[in-house]
Amino acid sequence: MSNDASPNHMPPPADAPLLGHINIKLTDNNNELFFKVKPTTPFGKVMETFCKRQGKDLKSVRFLFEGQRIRKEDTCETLDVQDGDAIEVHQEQLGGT
Amino acid sequence: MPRIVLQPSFSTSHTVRLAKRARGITYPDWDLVAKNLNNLAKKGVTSTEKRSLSHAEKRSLTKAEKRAWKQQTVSHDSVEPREPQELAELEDTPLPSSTPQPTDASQPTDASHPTDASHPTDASQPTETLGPTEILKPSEFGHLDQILDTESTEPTEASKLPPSTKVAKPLKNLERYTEIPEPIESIEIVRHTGSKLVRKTEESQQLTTKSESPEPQDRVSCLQRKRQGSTPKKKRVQWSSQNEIRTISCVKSKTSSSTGTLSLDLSRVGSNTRSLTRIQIAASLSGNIPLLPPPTVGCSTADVLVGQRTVGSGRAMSAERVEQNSGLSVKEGACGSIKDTSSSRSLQERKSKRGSANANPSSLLLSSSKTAHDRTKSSRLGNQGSGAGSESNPITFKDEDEKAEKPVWQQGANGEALKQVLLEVEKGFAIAKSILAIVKVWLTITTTDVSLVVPTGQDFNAQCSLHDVMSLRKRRYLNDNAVDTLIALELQGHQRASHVHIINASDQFLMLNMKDEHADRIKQWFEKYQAWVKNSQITTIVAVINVDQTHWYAIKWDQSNMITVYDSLKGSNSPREEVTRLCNLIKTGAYNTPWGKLDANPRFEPSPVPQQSRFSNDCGIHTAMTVAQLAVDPISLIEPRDPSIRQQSAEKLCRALQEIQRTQEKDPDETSDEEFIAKLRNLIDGSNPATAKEMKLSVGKNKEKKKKGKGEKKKKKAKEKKEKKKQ
Repeated sequence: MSNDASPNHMPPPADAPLLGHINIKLTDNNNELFFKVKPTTPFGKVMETFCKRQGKDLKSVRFLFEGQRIRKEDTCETLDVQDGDAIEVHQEQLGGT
Repeated sequence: MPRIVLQPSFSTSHTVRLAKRARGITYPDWDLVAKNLNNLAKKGVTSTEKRSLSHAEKRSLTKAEKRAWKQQTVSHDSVEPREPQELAELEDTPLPSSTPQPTDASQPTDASHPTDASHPTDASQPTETLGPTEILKPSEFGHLDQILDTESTEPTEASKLPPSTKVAKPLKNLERYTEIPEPIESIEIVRHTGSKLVRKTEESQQLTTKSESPEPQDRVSCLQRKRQGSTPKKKRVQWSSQNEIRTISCVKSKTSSSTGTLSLDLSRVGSNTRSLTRIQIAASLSGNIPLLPPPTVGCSTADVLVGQRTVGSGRAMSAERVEQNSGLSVKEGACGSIKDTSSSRSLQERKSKRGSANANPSSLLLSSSKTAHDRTKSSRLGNQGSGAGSESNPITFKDEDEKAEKPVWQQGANGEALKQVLLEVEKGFAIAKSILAIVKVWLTITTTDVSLVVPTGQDFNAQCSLHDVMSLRKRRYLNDNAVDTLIALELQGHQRASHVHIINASDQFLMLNMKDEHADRIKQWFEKYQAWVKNSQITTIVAVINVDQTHWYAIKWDQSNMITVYDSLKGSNSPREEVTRLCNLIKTGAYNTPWGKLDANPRFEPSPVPQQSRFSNDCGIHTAMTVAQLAVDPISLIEPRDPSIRQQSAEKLCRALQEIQRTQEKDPDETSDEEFIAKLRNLIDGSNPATAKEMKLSVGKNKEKKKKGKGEKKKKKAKEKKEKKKQ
C-alpha cells in the first residue's frame, strides 16, 4: 500500500539546514563572516572568499583555530571544527627596525 | 646718449630693465642696430660671414676701438641681463665696426679676446655715462620689444643661420629636453620677452649637440634608448621616479622542457589597464626558472608591448615579434585587444568584445575556461548580495564549486601544460599627460604553490611561501613565517638541547587574544596543545618576541625566573610588556608545573648580542639566528655574525625552495620503494642529515602520491599472484 502523501516522503523544506554542514565564523576583531561548509571542504576556499570579501591579501593574513595555524588543505574534519566554532584572522606580524 | 627714467606704469619685466637703465646704463643706438640688421638681411649675409667679418675687422681694430666695441656689447647685454643666451643669437646683430661708439677709456675690458665679446662680460656693473635725462615712452619700449620680436618671430632670419652658430649656448628652456639623447624633430621653445610669450620652432639637431646632451639616465626607458636614430617624434614624456610594486600572475610551462614558455596574465594588473603599454620581463626563459635572491635580479630581459599608445611607435608589437624578441608565447591578437581598450571605441563595441571569451582584453595566453570560471564565480558571489555572510545567511559553497577543477591553463605549442609563476611587478607611471605607463616585471622567483615545510621536532613546523621569502629582500621587514623558517633551517642538522622549548613567531598570535580573564580557556588550550608543559625536563624557554609590528627580539626564560634579553637593536630598550604578557600566559596555562609557581615579577637582564647594521632592518634575522643557537646551547655566548647575513639567509631559503621544486617536478614513480624505505630509515635514524633533510622536504608533498602508488602496486602484485595461482 503506497502512501505518497505521507510525511515521511515529503521533500525537505528549502529553509531546512543542510545535513552534514557546519556553520563557522571567521572574525578579524572588526568584521565577522559566517560560512556554511561541508566537513570535507578545504579551508583554502573559505580563506579565499573571506579575503575577497574583506579586501585583504591572502598571503598577509593568518587563520587560526584555537591558536593553531590553519592551512589551505585543512578541513573541518581534520581540525575537529564543530558547529559554531570561530576562526580568528590575524594580520601577519612584521618587524625590522 | 640720453639717460632713461623709469616710467611707473610698465610691467614688472620692464620695470626691472628700466631700473637698471635708471642706474645709468648706456644703450646702443637701436635705430642704427635695426638699420644694420635690415641691411644685412637684404645683402643675405649669414651669421658666419658676419662673424668672420667681425673677426677680421676686430683684428684690424685699434685698442681704443676694441674697447669701444666691447663697451657697446656690454651695454647691449645689459638690456636683457636675464637671458644672455638669447643675446647670443642676437649677437648676430651688426658689430659697430663701421660706427664705433665713443667710450670711456678707463673702462676695463679684455681686448685680448675679441671673440668673447659675444658673451656678456659683466652686465651688472653699469657704466657711468653723463647725458641729458629723457623719459622713455611706452611706444619706444615697444620699439625695443619689436626688435626682439622680429628676431624671434622671423624664422627666415633664424633659419638662415647655420647650426654651428646657433648652438653657441643652449637655451634655458631646452634643459628639460636634454635628458633625451635621441634626435628630436621639433621643440617648442617658449621665450619670455617682456610681457609676451613668443613661441618659436627650431630644429633640435641644431640646438642639441652631442657634447650638450647628457648620457641616458636610468629612468629613461630602454625603449627610448632603442629608438635612437629611429623616426623622431614630437612629444616627450618625463618619467616619474616613483614606482609602485604591483603583482600579477604569470604562466610558465609545467613540464621541465628546455625552452620554458612564459606568458602573462594581465587580468589582475589593475583597473588602469588603459595606460598599460609595456611590460618588461626579467627572467631566465630557458629551463627552470631559477630561484634568485631578491638583490640579484634579472637574467635576460624581454619587452612586451601592449597597447596602442606605446612610446613613439604608436602601435602594438605583434605576437610574432614578441615571441621572436623575448621567447614568450603570446596568444595571437592579445596585444591588439589591449590596444582596443586604449583606443576610443564605443562602449557597445567593447561590451560586444568582452562578450566573447577568446577576446579577453586583459589576458595573454589565458584560456577561456579560466576567464569563464572567474566570471561565473564572481557573478555567483555577487548574486549572494550584500547580506551574505551574516549569521542568518551564511556563505555556502555549492557542489559545483567543490567539483569544479582548478582553472585550466592553455597548453603550450608542444602540448605541455602551463603552470603559474608569480612575478613581482614594478609599475611606473608617466606623469606627463598620463599617456604612458611602464610595467616592469623585474623579479621572478618560483611557483606559487611551493611552500617550504621544515619540521623542527615537536615544537613547530615552519611553513614558508614565496610571499615570506620576499620579506627577505634588502631592508624589508621580516614576517613571522620567514623568522620561523629561518629558525627551522638553522636547526637542521644540529642536535637540539632537550631541556629547551622554543616559542616561535607564529605563537605570538596566541598572545593577541588570550587575556587573563579567560583563564579556564587558556588552561584548556594548554592541556590540549602544549604538551611540553607536562615535560618536566623543560627548564628553559626561548621565545621570539614581536613589538608592535616593528621589531623582533629574543628572550630566554629559565626557571630561576631570570629573563635574558637578546636584542640586536641598540637603544631599543627591549619593551617588556610583551614578555610579561607571555610569561603570565604560560604561568596561567601551566599552573601545575614549576612555571606556574614562579613570581609575577621576573628579573630582566640584557645580554651582549651582535648588533645589526644601521637601517638594515635585520632584527628578524638576528633574532632567528639567536634563537636557533640558544635552542642548541642555551648557555653559549652569541657569536658575531657576517654583515651579509640577510643575503645568506635568503639564499639558503631559496635553495631549500628549489629543492622542493625539483622534487615536485620529478615523477614520484621514479624512486623505487626500496629507495624510499632506505630514505625513510635514514630519516628516522637521523644518520645522514642531508638525506634526512631531503626527505623532510619531499615527504610532505609526495607522501600521498607515494601512498597511492604503493597501494596500486600492491594491488597489481596481488592480482598477478592470483592469476599465477589460477594458472
